[in-house]
Amino acid sequence: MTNSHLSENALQAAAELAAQLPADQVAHLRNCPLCQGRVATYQQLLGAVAQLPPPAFAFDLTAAVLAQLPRPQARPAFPTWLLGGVAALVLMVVIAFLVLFGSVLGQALQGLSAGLGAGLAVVAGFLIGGQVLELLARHRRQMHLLTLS
Amino acid sequence: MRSLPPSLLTDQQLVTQVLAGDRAAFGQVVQRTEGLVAQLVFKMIRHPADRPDLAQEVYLKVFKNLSGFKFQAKLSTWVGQIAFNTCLHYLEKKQLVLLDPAETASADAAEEGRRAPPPPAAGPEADPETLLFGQDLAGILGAAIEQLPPLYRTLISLYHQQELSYEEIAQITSLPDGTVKNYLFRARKLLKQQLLARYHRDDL
Repeated sequence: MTNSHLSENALQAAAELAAQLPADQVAHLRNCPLCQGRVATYQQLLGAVAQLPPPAFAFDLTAAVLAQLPRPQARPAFPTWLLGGVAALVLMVVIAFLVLFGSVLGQALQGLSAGLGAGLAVVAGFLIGGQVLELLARHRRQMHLLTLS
Repeated sequence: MRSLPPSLLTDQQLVTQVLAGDRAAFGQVVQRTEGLVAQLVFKMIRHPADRPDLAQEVYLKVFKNLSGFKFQAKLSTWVGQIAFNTCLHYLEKKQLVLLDPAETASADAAEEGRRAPPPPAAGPEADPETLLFGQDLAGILGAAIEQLPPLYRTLISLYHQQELSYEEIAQITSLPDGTVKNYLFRARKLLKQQLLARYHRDDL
């Protein structure tokens, strides 16, 4: 049995029931009322710490956090792979049409007057321009929403 | 198959649901870990006005990084890690220290003194209950804990109130296991010294 009293670390280790002490310190503790008292003090102190009321926020943290989460992004109406498949199908149909009826189409176009061709080009230009403006407006709306969310 | 209410889901199921866009499931993540985050924020941050913003910042980071969580630790430990680092970053920004080296040095000196030759045999110590009970125990202890450096306060609360293991605390704080144990020993001793100073006792 050791004659010196337990160190602070040993006292704390003894106060933790799960902790293992060397045999000589256990023997000292068994026969030393001073060290027993110090261990008991630590046990009571740490037991009281464990019983302290836990800190809590004075507001609803869950609600506050959920209100700040970024909004889920709107999913496209069709999955991307489906849109890709449709585009490929349309492209194949166009190619097949050109292969099968290309020569007939060429002859028909040669017969059209230059004026009609120019008119078609202007109409096509308006359509494409309108589409571009529409896409731009939609993009701006989306960016505005994302900035606000 | 009917889906279980969020409160019955495992951490992994909960995370999967959150990643699938279930916001209520994330609410459950907050509720499960709020106690730990509150302990960390309250113990590390002295300025009460900053705590609510920090707690919310913690969970926004958790939400943002949830897809990167690989279940190598418990969800609560991972959230705790984020909370600890967020508070640490706050302290660094404010140029505050988590643990003053001078305080550890004084604790070491006190420990050396404790190893001095033992006093002559003494009678049994006064019953500690008589010293502490009958007082506003929670208030006294709370005040004494508040006197500790932030890191010591944090370790005491994680180990003795949240009942985390040394390993979990080491993961949260990114400190080695041995350092966590060493700091905890010092923190308990310092806590006892704070109480001694309050009661002007030679020993407890």
